[in-house]
Amino acid sequence: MDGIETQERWAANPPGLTAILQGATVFIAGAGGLGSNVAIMLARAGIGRLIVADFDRVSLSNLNRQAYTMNQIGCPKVTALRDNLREIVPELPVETRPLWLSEKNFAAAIPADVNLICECFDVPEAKAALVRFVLMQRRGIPLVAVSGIGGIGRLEELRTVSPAPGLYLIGDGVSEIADGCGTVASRVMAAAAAQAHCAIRLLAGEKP
Amino acid sequence: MKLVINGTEREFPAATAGLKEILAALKLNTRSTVCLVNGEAVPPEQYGTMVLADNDKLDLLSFVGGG
Repeated sequence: MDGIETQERWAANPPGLTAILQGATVFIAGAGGLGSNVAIMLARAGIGRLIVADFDRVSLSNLNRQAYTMNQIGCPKVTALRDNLREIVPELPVETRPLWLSEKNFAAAIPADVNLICECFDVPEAKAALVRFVLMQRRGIPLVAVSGIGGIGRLEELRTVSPAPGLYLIGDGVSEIADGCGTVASRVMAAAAAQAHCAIRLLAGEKP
Repeated sequence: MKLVINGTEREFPAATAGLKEILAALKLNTRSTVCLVNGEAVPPEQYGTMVLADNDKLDLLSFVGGG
């Protein structure tokens, strides 16, 4: 892509933001309802590089909220997501890690030099484990995590709080998918938007 | 014993001075809760041995599923 095209691509971005985001790498832990949508929003905003980790494959029941299509059913999510990102921003470097992330491999899988980490897991124990890991072993790298996005609760209930330095938590804190409240695209994507927006503000040096 | 939990002062019997006992008293799942004691994250393997002191500040972040 030549310079003129690049200029046009980011022409509508807020002044100064593109240059900041182009220099940033974000690690996305999980490529489900949160991660797939966060990746697309960060790509559209002009992020410089993405690293996406997920062990799972696309299934039909994912399509109610995740950024995949019918012809991607059965494909590894990280591969499908990389393909979808290429359709939007072809020059964006996307590193894929088809891994089951856990305490056992966080240290090997999550580079110490990324600028920000998005926690986009599904399982609460995995969410907590990643938050602990980052607080203890990736100190100084901002982490944007999510808890409580199930059901059809009001979007105003999705708050962003910072319970510890460098840790930002989005959600209502209570609505669990396992409670039987399910998930709907509008609420999951609103949480993903809040997560991506929090990441963009942090990278731009703003308080979320 | 007085602890400040998520910004609120709470009183606990001296017998529940361990982090594990506090989590049990509050009915919190140890694996899905992130515990910060005076701002420092504690690994779950240390919950059983972590003894709290009067006026310790605890942040207990309990995660729910969905993503």
